[in-house]
Amino acid sequence: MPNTSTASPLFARRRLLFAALSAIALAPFLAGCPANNESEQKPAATGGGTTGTPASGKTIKAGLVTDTGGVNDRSFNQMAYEGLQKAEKEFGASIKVQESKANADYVSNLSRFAQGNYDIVFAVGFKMQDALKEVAPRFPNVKFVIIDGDAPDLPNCASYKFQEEQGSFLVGALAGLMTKTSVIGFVGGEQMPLIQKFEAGYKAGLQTTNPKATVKVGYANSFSDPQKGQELAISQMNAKADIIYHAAGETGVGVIKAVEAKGKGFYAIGVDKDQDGEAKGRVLTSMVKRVDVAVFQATESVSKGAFKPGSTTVGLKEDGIALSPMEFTKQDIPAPIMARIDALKQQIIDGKITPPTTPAELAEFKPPVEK
Amino acid sequence: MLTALLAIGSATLRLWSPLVLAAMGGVVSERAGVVNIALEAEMLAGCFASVAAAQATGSPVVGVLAGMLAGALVGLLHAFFTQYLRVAHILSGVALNLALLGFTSYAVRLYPGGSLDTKATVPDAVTTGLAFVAVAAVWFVLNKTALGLRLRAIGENPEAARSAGVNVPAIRYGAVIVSGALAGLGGVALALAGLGAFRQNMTAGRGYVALAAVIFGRWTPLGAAGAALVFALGDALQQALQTDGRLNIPPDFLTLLPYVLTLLALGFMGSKTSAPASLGTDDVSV
Repeated sequence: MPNTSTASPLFARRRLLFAALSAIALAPFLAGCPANNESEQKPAATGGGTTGTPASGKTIKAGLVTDTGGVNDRSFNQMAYEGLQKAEKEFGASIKVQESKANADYVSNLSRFAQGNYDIVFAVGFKMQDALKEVAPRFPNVKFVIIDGDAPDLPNCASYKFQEEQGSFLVGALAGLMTKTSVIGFVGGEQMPLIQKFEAGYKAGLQTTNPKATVKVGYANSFSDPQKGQELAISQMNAKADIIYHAAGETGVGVIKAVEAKGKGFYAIGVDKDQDGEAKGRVLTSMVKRVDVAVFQATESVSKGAFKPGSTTVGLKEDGIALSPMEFTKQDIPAPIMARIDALKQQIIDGKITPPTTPAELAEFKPPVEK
Repeated sequence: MLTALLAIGSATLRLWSPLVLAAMGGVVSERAGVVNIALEAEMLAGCFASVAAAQATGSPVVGVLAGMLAGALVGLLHAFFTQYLRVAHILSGVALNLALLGFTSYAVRLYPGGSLDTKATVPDAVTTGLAFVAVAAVWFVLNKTALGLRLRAIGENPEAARSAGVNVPAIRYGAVIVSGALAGLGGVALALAGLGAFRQNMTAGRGYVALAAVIFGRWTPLGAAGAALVFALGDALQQALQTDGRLNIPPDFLTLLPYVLTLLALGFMGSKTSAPASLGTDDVSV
């Protein structure tokens, strides 16, 4: 009979060794807690002392807590930091960044800035919603701003959200004008209201410029599964789709790679950040959420003493949503098409077109009559 | 119609190869009596190491070897924990899965933008071919060689095998390390083949699906390969149905399809279990 008991002292000693090894392996994770994060503030050192003259006597102190993506993520966190740097340059805000190593760090990182008497503290990403709910009531004199999430209903809290449906409308309109097959694709991460907002705007844009075209839709049920994204894109391209927009986080990497492998005649459309460089010439454009603009605006409002609590929604009008500069595809897009897209953008800004945000609104949506 | 079927067929093979390679690793380890829930960690290590090495050297071959080596190293750790330190097999596996998820997520953030990409990829056909070779090789070694007989004997009764002069620890160590290398190759098939990218947690539970395939396949190489094929076919089908769109079924339901198919297959196969008798137990000879 195999012996599975723990009686032997030899094995007891070996188990102790396992416990010791586990402790060593886990040490870096445990150390992610408050105590050691002081050393993580490197980015703030770049230019901290060389600020310009403050606009109104007092220099405002602005702190930024990144989510676990870190400040060099080429996405939300990095854009948020660029917004702060602009504030530093334009009205001499004193800025500092705190990277979060784990979800458990959010509360302590937000509290640290608040205790340091910062005027405004940014929380980047909806993942920090709960942490903010916990911290904000304890520091009524500090302004908290959450980017792309919901803020608690307090006078010192504000949230910035983005009208993704507007940008999605424009890329859908562009895809409708650029498609050679009159079939385009959409790959979503999970079928939830946020992602359906992208889908609804995209379809409405297509209906506006190319009513006869159809959209192939696929959901991967994951935001971190590139293989699923790749296979959905291949399946859609087999069904004649030649332009595919993704709203699927890292799953979308697979969409871009699949389109890149197909080569000329096929395009992907990036999301959130400028992804045009990920497959030069094969990413038609990207629907960018300008987190930097939101962060700069909020910092400026505090420096002018005009902080507005509650939810602020930014879209094309506020430059909070934009298409990428199309660095690698500009030459492929005919001028009349670009002009049409610019005209549609103006109509959205003027409120003449309201892109739908849900499947129900999409069903009601009537494409505008263009002159 | 024909082209649509061909498309589903090739998608099935692409989705199958990472799963079946990890499942072959699972068969080798479990037939020697070691529960290998660390397949997920071994795959993830293979994903990361293959893309990182291919990017650093520009050579896909180096990438493939690095992926297998990384999987084998995680296998060595699993063998060390379970065989030398006598840690419960499941506990060691779960610990390794968490550790490798943490380690690779940290390591990928050291690359600019937190994304690790390479152009030095392997064609999908290569890893699919390797998957067929792996199934044949594992079947042959287990059923047609003296080594396979010894390994299976250990899985059934290590005491008896030891009295018959079999070096139990050596074969168990070897089996778990080879298991890791196979799962690492599964990671290569996922990350390097056709894609050329590593992202945080990109295995997304495929190691566990592979382990389920081992159990559904009753710990035999051909059974596990078949179970993995049913799962991959289900996944390819649901993607094709989503693209087709005419059935208008919510995607949340469609993504259940591979799991439903696997359960149905299990139901038709009956419930006779045939796990190796010593699975998960300690060998007292050390």
